Amino acid sequence: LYRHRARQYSATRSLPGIDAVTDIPMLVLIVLAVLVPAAYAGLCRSI
Amino acid sequence: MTPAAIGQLLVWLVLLLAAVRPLGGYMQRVFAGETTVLTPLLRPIETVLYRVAGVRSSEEQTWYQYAQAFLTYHLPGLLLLYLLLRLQDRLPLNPAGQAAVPPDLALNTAISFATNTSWQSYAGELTLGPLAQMAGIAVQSFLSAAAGIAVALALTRGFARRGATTIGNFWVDTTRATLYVLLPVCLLASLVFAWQGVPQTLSAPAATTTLEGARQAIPLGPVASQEAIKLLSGDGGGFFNAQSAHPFENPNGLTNLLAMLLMPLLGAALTNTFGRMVGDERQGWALLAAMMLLLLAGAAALHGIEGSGDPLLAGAGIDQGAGNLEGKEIRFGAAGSALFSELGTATSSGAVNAMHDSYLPLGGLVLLANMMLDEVIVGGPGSGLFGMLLFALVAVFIAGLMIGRTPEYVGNKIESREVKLTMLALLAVPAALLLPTAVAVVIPAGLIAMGNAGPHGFTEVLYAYTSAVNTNGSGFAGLSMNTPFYNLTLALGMTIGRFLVIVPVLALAGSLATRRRVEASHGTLPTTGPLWVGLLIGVIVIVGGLTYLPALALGPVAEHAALLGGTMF
Repeated sequence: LYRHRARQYSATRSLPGIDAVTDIPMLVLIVLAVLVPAAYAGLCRSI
Repeated sequence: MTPAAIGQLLVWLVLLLAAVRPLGGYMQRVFAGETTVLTPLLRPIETVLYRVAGVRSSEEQTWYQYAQAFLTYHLPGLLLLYLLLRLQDRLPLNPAGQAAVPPDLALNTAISFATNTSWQSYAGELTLGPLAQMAGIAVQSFLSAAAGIAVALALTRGFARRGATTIGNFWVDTTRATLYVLLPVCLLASLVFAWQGVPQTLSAPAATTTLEGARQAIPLGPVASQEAIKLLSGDGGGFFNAQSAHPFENPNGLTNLLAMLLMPLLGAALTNTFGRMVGDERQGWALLAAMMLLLLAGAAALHGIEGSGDPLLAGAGIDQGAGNLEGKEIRFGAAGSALFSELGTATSSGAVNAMHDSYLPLGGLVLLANMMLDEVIVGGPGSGLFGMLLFALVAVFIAGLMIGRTPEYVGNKIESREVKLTMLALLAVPAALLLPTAVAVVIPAGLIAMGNAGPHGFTEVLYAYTSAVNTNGSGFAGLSMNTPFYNLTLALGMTIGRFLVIVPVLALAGSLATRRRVEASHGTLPTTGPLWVGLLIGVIVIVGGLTYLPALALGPVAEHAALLGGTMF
């Protein structure tokens, strides 16, 4: 039910061609791919 | 090795070595901001770029600021490439009407090209149209190579400077790498490729009729320009699914030779830049000697293995005089494929002109070993140099332990902090490679993608993670890796293999820059002669062997033993 409603939301509200259910997690992962190494730089500074 | 193979190797080696010193010196002058032959043309463009971007070129950064700039630099590119792939079907310059790339594949591809890996879970021209190839893939090839060169420069400055707090300006280094190094070389190489018949067009696919009378659409595109940066940047992602085995990417022996020169060109020349920047060119030649000896050993082994052919076919009375030709282009043969594959895996290019899946088991082992040695055998632009410098620090550390002295390298005392950061960088790769391989070979989501059973299937999985984490990008084939499981875990591996290696490298640069100069004494290990080159090679091989031999034993070694017993997988 959640996925169905999320898809409905996606179809009506998101950019054409972008699906909120599948794309937002991927975009979050991309941001994390940069943020986690940034935090790692802090760890390296403490060595 | 046949006389033709030896001749090819010698021509390639002479041409490459002839380019090292001029190009190394040119890059040293470029990154020092000195006048070069291209300065009158490019300095005005460089100045405008700094003004538009708000960069103060005279201001330098600490290692932490440099690392933050390096990471910030990747975020917009990653997001833009992801959106470009997802919205491909709604954007112009898509004459074949390619569909939008699925989300997990778009994520994998965006991370792959932003990290200079060029792992391709997509099917080349069958998935991407010219806009995605030009504005997405090729642009990231330039940007990721420039970033790798910048990191190598930062580490070199760390070695060269004394009592400093800064290691350069990331924005200036990447701008100069792109403007003065990558673009001019690519322009020249693109013209040669186009001259030799590589397409450079935005036309729709060519419609032809086959000999059987069937209609066939042959995709075209801006191939020549992408081919040049694909090979020079260490990115290696081909325009076509068949990569450099496709006659439109690699039409003849001349383009094959040019490709083999472009792949190691910057990685080799940067060793000379390093030597000049630390004030002793011999230091650079020693690093290059270690790289070349490892590379030539791999090339000779591959020639020997592939040139001798398949023992089972030979036993069945089938002539193997031309070597093992399965999965190889007859235009290049076993010799032209072996040297290309050696370079594609030893450098971080990952370009292929033959199917690595079809190499004999021990041939596959050589390709795997090239990548497993952390891509230090020339490696990618910048990444090969900083990878080799990490091993140099391990080598002087081990030598220091043996003789009871504090290790030194190019006038720097190597202390506890430097060794810890070196180990952080070196251990990230095997951890990110071996753990997912172990998971993939026991869970259904990993097993279902294998194209073969037994040790060959294991090698397919091991090769995929080895290639991705070491930012090589070549494919072994056989593995149906375009699944959410592989797309996401390989993307994670590429992220770790690039970012979690480079961050400690930059911290190391910052730490070294602050050190006072240590004058060489009678107790200092010379780091320019044959003894040093032998020690460095020994450390690389032993560390690589201790880390990866168990995995290799389960894959290509077991498969070779089975082959000798008459069993194929």
